[in-house]
Amino acid sequence: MSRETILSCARGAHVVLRKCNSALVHPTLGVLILPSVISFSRMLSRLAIGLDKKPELIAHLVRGSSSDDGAKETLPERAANIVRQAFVTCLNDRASGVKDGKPEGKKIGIYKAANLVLKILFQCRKTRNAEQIFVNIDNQSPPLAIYPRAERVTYLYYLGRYLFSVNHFYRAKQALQEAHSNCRNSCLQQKRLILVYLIASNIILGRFPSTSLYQRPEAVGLADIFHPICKSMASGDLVTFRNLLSYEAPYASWLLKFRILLPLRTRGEVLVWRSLIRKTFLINGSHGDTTSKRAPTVALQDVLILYRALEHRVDNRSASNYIDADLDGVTDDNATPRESDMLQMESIFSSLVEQGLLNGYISHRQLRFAIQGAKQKGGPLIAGFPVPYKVISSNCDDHVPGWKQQAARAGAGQSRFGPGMVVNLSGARPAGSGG
Amino acid sequence: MSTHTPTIDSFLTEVSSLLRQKNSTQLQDVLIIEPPFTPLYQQIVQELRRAFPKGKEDTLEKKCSNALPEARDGEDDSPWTAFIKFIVQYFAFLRDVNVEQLLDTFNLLCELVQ
Repeated sequence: MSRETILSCARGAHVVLRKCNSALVHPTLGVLILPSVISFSRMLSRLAIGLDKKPELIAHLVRGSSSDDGAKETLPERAANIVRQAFVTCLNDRASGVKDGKPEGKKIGIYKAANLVLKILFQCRKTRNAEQIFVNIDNQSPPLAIYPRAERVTYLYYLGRYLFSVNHFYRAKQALQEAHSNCRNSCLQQKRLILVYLIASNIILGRFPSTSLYQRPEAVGLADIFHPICKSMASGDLVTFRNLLSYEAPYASWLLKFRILLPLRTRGEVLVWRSLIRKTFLINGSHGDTTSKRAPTVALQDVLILYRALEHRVDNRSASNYIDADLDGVTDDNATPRESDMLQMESIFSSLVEQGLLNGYISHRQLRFAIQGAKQKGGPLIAGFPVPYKVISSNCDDHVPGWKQQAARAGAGQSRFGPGMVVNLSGARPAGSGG
Repeated sequence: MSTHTPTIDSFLTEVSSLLRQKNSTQLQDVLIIEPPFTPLYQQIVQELRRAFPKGKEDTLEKKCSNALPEARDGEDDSPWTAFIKFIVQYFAFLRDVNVEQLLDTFNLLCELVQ
């Protein structure tokens, strides 16, 4: 099969879809071509993703056509941009809207086209370009709930992955949770994919999967990967945690493939520190005295000692494993391992206090962390070490940008009350009915 | 060069009738862009290559415009010429892309996407 065939096919499909998009713009007749636009877009997305996975097929042509500015759009990006035009036409259509709780006219195509653009962008690792789709949908789309289930699930999966990639883990969890609950059990592969990101988001939020979740058909094998990580986080075992998420770890390539290794490592470590401090408090903390009003405290020094002991174990392990060829035989004058000092410890404590994961204050003079509110809250552990998920979720609201809940209001994209605003009173009760 | 193109003519008649009926679903079924192509489409390709080779797009457009009055005249005084231009481009795609090899291309690429 010749390379030219593939490229001429891709080019031809680009031009056909462009013309098709122009035909879609007609205010009344354009809608007749909508199903064709979607099927052409589907074909183009397959072609673009296929070529992206097999770049050698068109390497010679790409080399020949590259310009000096270096900012040329790639073939998948070009395909995504063409499909995006169809998406924008559907979104901007003024002739159609929502009828009997269902989208009509070109509005039917919004999420079909959006999902195809997102598919290309995610498969070809151009996720940044996805933002515009979510912004457009947030501004102009009818509510997601009125669209078919498959479109909703796919869209929320991509939205969740995008939010995960920009470190909005709580919002990502919201979108992925909805996608997972609505995904049919028969779509096992898709459901598993959603679950991987849902689990990763939740772990970062401090919520670990239950045994029953691991037993679901779409979760086969996931316990082997995630359970040891969660266990090390809960017990404050920094060594095991770092080992499990190192590049040499048995599941490192699997985690990297899903692009969740680094987020888990960097975000998860915060929670490991919380557990480590909690453990130190349990072992050697002063539990306070309610009569003399002495607050429960833990010495920063104790945490530092524990951390050093753990870190030395990591250093020794990695040192025995690997010596770079350039350094083989070189004697190290400064052989003492890097030691974390008290300043770093104070910094970690204050960061956790700032994030709300520790409740109390640090005495810089005594170098102790004191827990506040132990008496009122029923014990130093509950008061000093609030549940991470509760802390994080209390700082987030349930609004997920890009997930359209209510109908777009004409003119303003703002949700403030004001003149001309339609207030939905369907859930209102008569005055005095209580509740 | 023969201008006898019975398959293209009947294809356009079908499209015209679907436009009249406003049947977008069936229109999608007719406007095939990926394999497998039925023998009917192979015939269209043959006729296109014979009667409307590269450079003859203007003549092809005229033919389409005549055969598709629904698009030419449009609706509410707004002609739908973009549709005619699209049909011409669709024919050009069928004509220029090596349809016989397209199936191999697709099989290969679809395997990759799976």
